Amino acid sequence: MSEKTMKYAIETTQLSKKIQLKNGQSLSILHDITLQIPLGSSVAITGASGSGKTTLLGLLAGLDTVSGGDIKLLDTSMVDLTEDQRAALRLGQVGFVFQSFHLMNNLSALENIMLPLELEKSNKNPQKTALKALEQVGLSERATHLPTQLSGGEQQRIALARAFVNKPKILFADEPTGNLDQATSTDIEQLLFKLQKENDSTLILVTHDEALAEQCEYHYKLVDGKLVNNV
Amino acid sequence: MNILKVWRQSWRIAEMRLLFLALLVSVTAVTSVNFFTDRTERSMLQQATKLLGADLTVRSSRPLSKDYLAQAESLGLKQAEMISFNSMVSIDDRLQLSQIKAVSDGFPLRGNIETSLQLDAIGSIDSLGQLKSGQIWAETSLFNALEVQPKVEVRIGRSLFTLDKVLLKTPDQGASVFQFSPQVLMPLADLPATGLLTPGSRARFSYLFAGTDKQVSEMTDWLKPRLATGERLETLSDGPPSIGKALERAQRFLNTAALLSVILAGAAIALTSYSFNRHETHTVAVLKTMGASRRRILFRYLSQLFLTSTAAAILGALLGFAIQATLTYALRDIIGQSLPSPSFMPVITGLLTAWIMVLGFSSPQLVQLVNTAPVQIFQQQSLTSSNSWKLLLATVMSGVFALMFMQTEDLKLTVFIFLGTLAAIVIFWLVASGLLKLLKSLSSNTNNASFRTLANAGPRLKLLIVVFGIGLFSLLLLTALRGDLLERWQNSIPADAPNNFLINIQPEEVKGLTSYLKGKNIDANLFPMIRGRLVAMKGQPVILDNYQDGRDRRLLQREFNLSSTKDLPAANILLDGEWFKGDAPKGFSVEESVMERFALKIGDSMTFDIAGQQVTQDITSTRRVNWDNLTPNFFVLAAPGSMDKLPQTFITSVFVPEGDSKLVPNLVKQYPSVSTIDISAIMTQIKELITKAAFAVQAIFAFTLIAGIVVLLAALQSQKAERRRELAILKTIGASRKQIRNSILVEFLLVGAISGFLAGLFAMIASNVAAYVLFDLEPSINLSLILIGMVSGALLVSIAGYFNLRPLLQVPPAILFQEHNS
Repeated sequence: MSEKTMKYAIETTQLSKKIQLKNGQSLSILHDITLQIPLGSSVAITGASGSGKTTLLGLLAGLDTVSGGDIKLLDTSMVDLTEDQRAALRLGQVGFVFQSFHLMNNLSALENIMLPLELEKSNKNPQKTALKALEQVGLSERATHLPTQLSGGEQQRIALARAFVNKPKILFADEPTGNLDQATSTDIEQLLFKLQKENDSTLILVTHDEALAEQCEYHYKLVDGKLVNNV
Repeated sequence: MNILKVWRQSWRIAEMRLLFLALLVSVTAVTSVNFFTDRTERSMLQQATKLLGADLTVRSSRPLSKDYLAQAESLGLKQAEMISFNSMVSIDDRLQLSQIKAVSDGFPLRGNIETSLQLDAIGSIDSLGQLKSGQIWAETSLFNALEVQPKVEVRIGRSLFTLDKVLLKTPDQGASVFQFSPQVLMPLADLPATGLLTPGSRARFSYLFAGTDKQVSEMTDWLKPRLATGERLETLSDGPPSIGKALERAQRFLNTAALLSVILAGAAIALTSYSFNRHETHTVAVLKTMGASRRRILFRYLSQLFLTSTAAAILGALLGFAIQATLTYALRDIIGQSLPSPSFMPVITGLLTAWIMVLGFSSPQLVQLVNTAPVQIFQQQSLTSSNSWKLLLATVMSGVFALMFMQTEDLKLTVFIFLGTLAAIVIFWLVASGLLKLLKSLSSNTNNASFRTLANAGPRLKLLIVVFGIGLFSLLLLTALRGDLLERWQNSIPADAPNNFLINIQPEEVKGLTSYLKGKNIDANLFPMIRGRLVAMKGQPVILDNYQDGRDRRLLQREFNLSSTKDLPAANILLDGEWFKGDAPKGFSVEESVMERFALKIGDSMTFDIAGQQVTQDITSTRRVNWDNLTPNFFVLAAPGSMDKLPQTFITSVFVPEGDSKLVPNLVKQYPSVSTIDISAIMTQIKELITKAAFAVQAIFAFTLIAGIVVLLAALQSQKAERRRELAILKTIGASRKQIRNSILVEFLLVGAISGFLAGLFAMIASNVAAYVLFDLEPSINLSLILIGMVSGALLVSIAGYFNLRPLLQVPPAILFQEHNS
């Protein structure tokens, strides 16, 4: 299907995930999840601790394998793909923002942002593009700083710049403000939505924060491993 | 992705730098030893072709048959003759024992002689034709010992010679390595006039032959069945001379010492890989979320490891070369001045060592790393396999074994060293565990947190104590062997023990010499010395092929020094039988080891061939001999008077007071054929030699200590994440920076002191065992070794540990938590 006719960034049909316990029994974490996430939309998934939010995010991004059902990322079913094939599908099309930032401590701010471009290889001047992304998050003067020399808010800004630098079709965010104070959280939220709109990306956000979830176009709630409704 | 750029970035990770350091230490250790052995081995090989100075030689301690020369002549072989022996060379009051080589025209048949007209000048090829009658050429050390320049007159025996030129190189110089006396070349025709060669003198007679392969082979075939007992054929195919074997053993020892550093560095690499794996787990997960494939991630890390190991190998090879050059310079007296330039092989060995170490010790960790599940990114703590320690151990052991085999090229030796190292580790481990248990019971009564932490130390801390302890142990043991042992040996010799041997005293000189010595208040006991070959025992002829043991064969091949005496010598104890009694006593008194070796008992007969005469006697007694007492000692003593008619010289040992510098020179002037051997000078030379050899070995063992420090840093680095968390908690609950610093210092001081204590204790035990086995010395408790071990261990570990953790002390607790989580 061509990009013009593609309607959904992600589609799942009766998705389920079970894990095997040490005593031989299996534990169902997610069951019967069917959802369609339109391209360019913003979706929040909320739920109590242990409800399976992060597991769902991992499955939607192809980081983990499903136990049942089907899942399509950008119109490609991931059920029968190997880990490397799923990785190839993400390359240049998917970005991530994490609660703990996960910047590489041995790379400078600029080098961290350049990383996805270097992996993708299609960009002829990754440094120039990364510098532009750094400007967009307002940290151009911190280009050569290592993550350990930056504050939590600054690290998350760098992480946002890294996530959006190759204009991904989908951006997954796992509790992006979970490690930040209130004022910084607000800044990061604003920046996140601004960048999503500018890049026309689909945002899939997992959070505890109901106020943050309310800012998304769609809001799903997970209760005991089941997607209850579109809030 | 630019590989070099990624490598540069990875350099910012402490583990990568540690990995580089560990590799650098092992490659430097291996290449410095390999460069050294490579050069000395090739030097030996080069010398071997010239060593004989001929294609074929016949040697014996007795004059050789002239028929040999006639046969060589008929076969068209070139020939030369050489007689070598030790004698004094003197000028005024100064004298020096030298190895005199009286050579005929044509010597050497192969190889060159190099001489110079002045000391410290560059030499040129010379021919013996230039050595005129009344002239001698001598090595530099003779000029130095006599404090003379070329062209002066010196005395050898009854003759005067002009010390014409400085002898820089002779074909069979290799054989004189480890020999202290300088070589002197004199024309063979001048030898009789010196009066030094009498029927009982110790000398080596050689015929040298050279020709085509066919001629040499025909001569060899002709000679073999005609050789008399004690005559030996030497060709190039006979393998390296004994010095080569000594050097080979030394090289093996150095190789083993280098291996120890490699093993320790291997442990450091394994530990570093372990913590590198933990550090990079999240990076791999992030890269996978971005779409990186496993193959790409594997390539990323393999290229980093390849570049790191190659850089370490190149730098290590350069350092290794520099260290080898220093060693070669320091040992130039022992191994010779000019060695062939180094080959490229050690560099290849260095590269292989680095690659094997990286692949062997870190690849299982790397596979684990590449297989990191991307979903792991959502977990706060990195997952580590419960099998990782076992995997690490298995990898380290197989890697170490492979490296050992590569270095020794000997499976048996590899297994031996491998098991020996394991045994050492187990012993250190058990004792370290015992000590820590003791600390634990003591720590229940203390409030000191670091004391308690140490008492509850896990296996990693014990490993730290063990590897660091073994490194320190090697160095302390060498220090003890070098200094302490030599000193104890010297101290065990009484102050008035004889310090000069007088040899080659002719029978007609005995009376005069005894009264000369008496006049100087020296009561000397002169023993006749008769040279004889053991040809029959218990009535059965000795057949060499029946003896497989090397020492048995050597004892039977060479000539025994026999003597006869009325009284049992002071350093001898009669074990069995009766000492010679009566007017015309008969029989042999035999040293106990000879009795044991050839299963002899009282009443058995022994037959000696003495200058062609067969002398048979029964064994009448067995003696124990104290060989260290610096007086003439003999394996076989005959009854007094029973050997008087046989060719003989006399020997004695005397004590010359240090201030009496004229006594020996005057004696030699009066009795020119007498040679003196100054034992104190030899002792000094031995000490110098041991100091130099120990320097080489210590330099190699220094790598062991450095490798131990690298292991220490690797272990500290692998514990850094936990330390970070501990420090964050301590800071959060209000511990001051000073309190934390003191606690860290106490902990490391204790770790270092325990390692040092173990190292010192085992070094003391091992040096005492060596003292007993090698020198028969009484055990002594040298507490300073333990003290040195504890102080140096405590200092090194606490300095390294403190500097490793110091940056964490400055960081606020919130950041520490944040860093820990990310």
